[in-house]
Amino acid sequence: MMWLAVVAGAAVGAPLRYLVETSVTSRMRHHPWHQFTWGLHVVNVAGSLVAGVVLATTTGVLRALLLAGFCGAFTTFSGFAWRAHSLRVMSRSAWWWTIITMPTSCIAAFWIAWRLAS
Amino acid sequence: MVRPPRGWHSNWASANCAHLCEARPIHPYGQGVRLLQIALGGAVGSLARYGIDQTLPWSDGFPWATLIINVVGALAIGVVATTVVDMRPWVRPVVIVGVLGGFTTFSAFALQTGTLLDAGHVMQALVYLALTMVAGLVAVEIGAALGPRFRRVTS
Repeated sequence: MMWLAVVAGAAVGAPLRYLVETSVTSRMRHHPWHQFTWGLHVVNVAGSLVAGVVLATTTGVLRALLLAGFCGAFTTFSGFAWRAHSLRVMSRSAWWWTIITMPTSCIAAFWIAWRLAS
Repeated sequence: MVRPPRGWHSNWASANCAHLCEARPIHPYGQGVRLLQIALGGAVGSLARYGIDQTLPWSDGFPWATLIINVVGALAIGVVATTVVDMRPWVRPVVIVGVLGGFTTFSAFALQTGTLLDAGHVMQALVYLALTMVAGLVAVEIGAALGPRFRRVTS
């Protein structure tokens, strides 16, 4: 039954990631730092925050639904890698900012949420 | 501020034209169909990730499963985004956003690194962090370099 929970969480998380990422990217497109990956940052940091809370508070099927299913599908590494590839060609400074801030902010978000929730 | 027409806003071409900034036709279906396609692809990709996670469990050692998943996903998006993405309109929502986006994960990466750091395995956490970043970014470059070659062979 665990796999069904993963499928259910992913079927919600993946479309929600698309909606959040595109709307944030669209909103920030006239910002001076529009090349910075705002959408991916919002998605991955929010997913890591939720993962911290979920790891501290839930167990069993609910954890599979929210952690492996929802958070796993809501956050993305492949999108980050592809954006990094695009930025490497377009803007080297945005590339550096992205590859340095993305992992650090996600790990910090997870750790703070996990510590606060547990 | 001049806003583009409503249909363009949620469109792929306007939102994600970072790599190839060129005008592309609006997709033939609406947002609802696209969301269903992404949900379907995301479910398939997440199920594959869950299966790999179960076969290579992260008990107390190094989180190999997530590392392999993220690096393979980065390689795959490099190949797919340069090769088959324009062949059919469903390839981008189903394969790139859905399957690959659901397959790879940043939350598990943050979770594992944070837990390793918290447990005092600082060296392991730093090696995992560096390995994921370097291997993932190298993998997407390799995939993006290989993609156009596949395209020349297949077409």
